[in-house]
Parts: sequence; C-alpha cells; structure tokens
Amino acid sequence: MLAVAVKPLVLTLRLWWRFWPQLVAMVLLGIVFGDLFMQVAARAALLNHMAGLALLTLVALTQLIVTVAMFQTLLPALPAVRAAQQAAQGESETGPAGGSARLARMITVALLPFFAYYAAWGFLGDTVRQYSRVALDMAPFGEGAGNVLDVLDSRWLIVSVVISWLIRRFATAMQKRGGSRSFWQIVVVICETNWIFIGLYVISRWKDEAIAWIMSRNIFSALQAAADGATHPIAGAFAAPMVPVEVTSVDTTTRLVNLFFYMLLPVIWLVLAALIYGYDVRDDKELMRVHRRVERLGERYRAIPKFLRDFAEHFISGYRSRYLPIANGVRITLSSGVVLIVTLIVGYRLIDWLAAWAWLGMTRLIGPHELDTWQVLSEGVSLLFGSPFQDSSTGILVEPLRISFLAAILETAFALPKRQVGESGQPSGPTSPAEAQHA
Amino acid sequence: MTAEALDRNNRASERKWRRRSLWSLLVLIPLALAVESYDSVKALLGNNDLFPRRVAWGESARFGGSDWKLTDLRGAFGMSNLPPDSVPVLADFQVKIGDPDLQKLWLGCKIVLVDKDGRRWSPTSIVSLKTPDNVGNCISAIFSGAKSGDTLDLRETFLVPKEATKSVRPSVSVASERPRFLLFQLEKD
Repeated sequence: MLAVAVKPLVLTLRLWWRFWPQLVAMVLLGIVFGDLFMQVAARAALLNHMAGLALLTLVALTQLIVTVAMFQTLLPALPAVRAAQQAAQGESETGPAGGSARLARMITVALLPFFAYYAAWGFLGDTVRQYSRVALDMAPFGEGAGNVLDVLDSRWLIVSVVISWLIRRFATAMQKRGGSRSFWQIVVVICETNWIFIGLYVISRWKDEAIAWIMSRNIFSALQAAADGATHPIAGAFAAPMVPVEVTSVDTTTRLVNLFFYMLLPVIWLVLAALIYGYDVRDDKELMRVHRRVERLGERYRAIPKFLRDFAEHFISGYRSRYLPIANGVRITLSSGVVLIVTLIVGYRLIDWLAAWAWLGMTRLIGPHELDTWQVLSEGVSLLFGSPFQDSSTGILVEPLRISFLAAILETAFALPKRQVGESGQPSGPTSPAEAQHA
Repeated sequence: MTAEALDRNNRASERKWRRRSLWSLLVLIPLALAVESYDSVKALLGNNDLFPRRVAWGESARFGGSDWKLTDLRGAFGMSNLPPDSVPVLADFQVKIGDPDLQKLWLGCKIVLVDKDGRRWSPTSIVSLKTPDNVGNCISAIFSGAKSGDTLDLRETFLVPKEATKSVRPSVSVASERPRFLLFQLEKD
C-alpha cells in the first residue's frame, strides 16, 4: 500500500530530472507568448473590440498548448501509458500519426474540457479582466476605445461566432482536399477555441444575470422567508444578534463543500492529463459495460428513428468519438484505488502549498523595499514560483514539477497489476461500426 | 527498423532536445523576465529619482528644457512655534526658460532635500515665510505662462531636523527626465 503512494513520488522526481530543461523552456515560451498575445489583443481591441476578443482566445490557447506539449514531452518515460495507447491504436486501426499532427489532435481533444475547467475555476474571468486592464492602460480612462468588453453584451457576438464557424467549415474543406493539412488543422483548432471561449464566457455572464433576475423577484424572497420560517420557527422571530467575527465559526456544510472543491481540483487535473494521453483509446464497449443501466441507455439510443439519430450525430458525433475514449481513461484512473487518489490530492496540494511558502520565504529573504522596487522584484519571484495572487500564473520551478507529478500518477495507475489482470480477463470487443466511421 | 534501433533513435533525439532546451534557457529566462517585468520597470524608472546629475555651485544645468541654477540654500534659525530641533530651510533657484511647454516638460516636478544618508524631505507648508511676489514655486511656475528666454525665481521651503542641516542638498526632478535628477552642490563641496 505504501509502495503505491511512494512510487509516483519517486517517478515524479525521476521525470523531472530527466526532462526539466525541456519543461522549463516550454513554460517560459508559454509566458512569453501569452504576454505577447495579450498585448496584441489589447492593441487590436483599440481598433475593434470584436477583434480584440477573438485574439484573446490565443492567450488561453497558448496555455493549453504548453500544457499538452509538456505532457507529450514526458510520454517516452511512461511505458505503461504508451502500452495502453499502442494497444488501443492496434484496435482502432488508426495509423501512426506524425508529431505535429498528434499534438494538434491532442489539443483538439483537450479543447472543450480544458476550457470548461478554465471557466469553472474563474481563470476565464481572470484572463478577460487582465485583458481589459491592459487595454485600459493603453487608452487611459477608455479614451477613444471605450469599454472593450461591451461586445460581450452585443448581438455582434453571434456574428463573430458565425464568422469563425464559416472559417472552420472552409478549413475542414481544405483539409479534406489535401495540401498543408496541419496548417488547416491549426485553423480549425483556433476557430473552435474561439467559440468555446466566447460561448463559455457569455454563458457565465448570462448565468449571473439570470440569477440576479430571479433574486430580484419578490417571489423568491417570499419563498425564502417561508422556508426560513419553516426551518427556524423561533430563531427567525428574533433579530440576529451581533457576533464578533472571531467568535463566528464556519458551519460543517460549508466546510465540507469547501473541502470537496479543494480536493476536486487535483482530480480534474488528472482527468485533463488522462484525456491528453488517452485520446487514442477508442472503445465505447468497455465504457458501456460499466453499468447495466448505461447499457440499456445505449440500446434505447439505437432504437431512435434513424433520421433523428443522424440529425443528432451530425452535431455530436465529432465530440462523441473524441470524448468516449477520454471517459474511458478517466474511469481507469479513478478506479485505480483510494491510496493513489489520496496521494494525488495530497501531493498536488503539497506542491501548491510549498510553492506558496517558497514565495513567502523569498519575500522574507529579499526584505523590505520601496513599492516600485518591490513590484519589479515580485515579477522575478513570480517567474520562479508562480504568483499566489494570480491564479493562472505559472512558475518555472513549480509547473514542471506539477506536470511531472500528474504524469507519474497516471503512469502508476496504468501500471497497476489490477488493471492489467482486468484487461487480459476482459478483452475488449471490436469498435462499433458507428465509431469506426468517425474514427 | 528494430524496436531497439527505434529506442536508440528516440534516446538520441531526446538528448538533442535536452541540450537545445538548456541552451534556449539562456535566452528564454532573460526574455521572459523582461516581458513580465516590462511595465513594472517602466513604472520604477518613471516614478523614481535614481541617477543623480551633480551640478557644481554657481553653475546651471539644462533640465526639462530649461536652465536650472541654485542661487541660495539657507536655514531660517530662531523661528518660534516649530517642533523642537527642527529648522526651516529655504532653497532658491533661478530658471531660464528654454522650451516654454512647461505643462508637459515639468509635469510631476519635485524639489526635495537629500542628506548624506539618503533621507529625503519634501517641501512644507507649515512654515509660511514672506516671499516677494515675483517668487513662485515649481508647480506655480508650470502655470505661469512663462515664455522662452524668461527668467523665473523659484523658492521651496522645507522643515528639516537640526542635525541634518549640515549635509542636505537640494535636488530637482521632473517626469520628462526621470529617472535622472539634478543634485545641486554647495559652495563648500
């Protein structure tokens, strides 16, 4: 049991030692290009707000590409993950792809979940905020440029999505015709990123508005009052007394919810890693076998009239063939034992925690200076350890370690004897005809 | 190709990329640092007086488009109603206007006293000494509408501890010239 916990830690250090120059170089490239694209986007926003927003997509895309490339770099040192990939490749009869095409495919696969994660953790808002700040710096008091974010509330957003959809269609057509395939692949990826980015941000804004609207209705407060009255009939009758903040305590439910989200982040990152490595594992039979009910769901889906199914497939088929394998990879990882998951959560948070303390320790070491001097020094410290005040910033000492750790956990999960036995005992069947078509 | 040869090939390419990455760090680390800290460095240089330009006693120096000259620096001893051990110090300048666009060139004008330990004192308004009508200060000069070739008399009043009066020297800085600033020397220096 202890071996399962220690193995990923040893592997992390070994991976880090073997690949640190490549990983650090990639993080640095990500920082440079991210900053560059941010400036370009802000400059473009001064000319046209929509163009600025479209270019902002590149900032988030840079982050995704760097992450994917880092995981890809570690692949040669992960024999179990590679074996699983190769086995799946043999099954689905996809030929070996070249390096850049592979990377492009991995990015396409990771796009939607990555952005969903990005939005859910508020990084999307962070990026947009940073962007509006840079634009405001360039045009003090919004002179000439106005509010660069006003397009987010306008109907022109639909036009932007339509344009990127048209470009994407054109790119896929060109891709089919042959020619520079990987170039068109990149265009497709950028277009998809664009609407996912815009879409998610708009949805999150509309969600806020919808909630605000509901909250502003009297119905809700009446309901709430009724509910309060029902749950605390007597306490509600008295005005709440003033309580000093030191004496107040966080109730258990809040604490549990916080703990849940605290533990969720490492798991989500592991899912991202599994999805980046697992894009080749195409087999929905294994997934469908999870539960009889899921199986029945699949049967019921097949019973739907064909024209309806075609209509639905038209929209989801691409995503289905992309995400089924991922669901598989995730299932494999999450079912690999409690010890490994606990190691993941504790280890991931430990890296975070140590990075934050290293940041703090460094500030103590440097000592007090004037604010302007400190501002410059803090940039150097943040480059090393990432900034604790900026969620999406990555330090060159921390990020490679984090990625190595996630890869090590995944490798350990794939190498577990339990899984190997399970695989040989239950050989997965051939892929369904529908899957083969989309593959 | 056999699996062994393929493996050897991969190893060689990995070593190659490791070496390349190591070399690229030499460029990437300073580059990333420069990109990240560009705005902060700009703010640091634009807001602070970092590099002094010493001006000998009796000489004038071109600064912010005009010629600055320190004409007097003296303490006004024996005043009442002041904190104990503090002395008002008056610094007088004569400025011959060159470029008359003072609102741009003299923006953020700051005259301070610096002592030998690097301590700084800003002008005070606690001490109100009578000044002739034609004597202004740095900020009022910006809006005086002075033309090229005019000579302005400027005076700033400071309140410094008695022990610092021996070593204080006046310095002048404006936003258009920062991080450089003028540090005037006295006759005895």
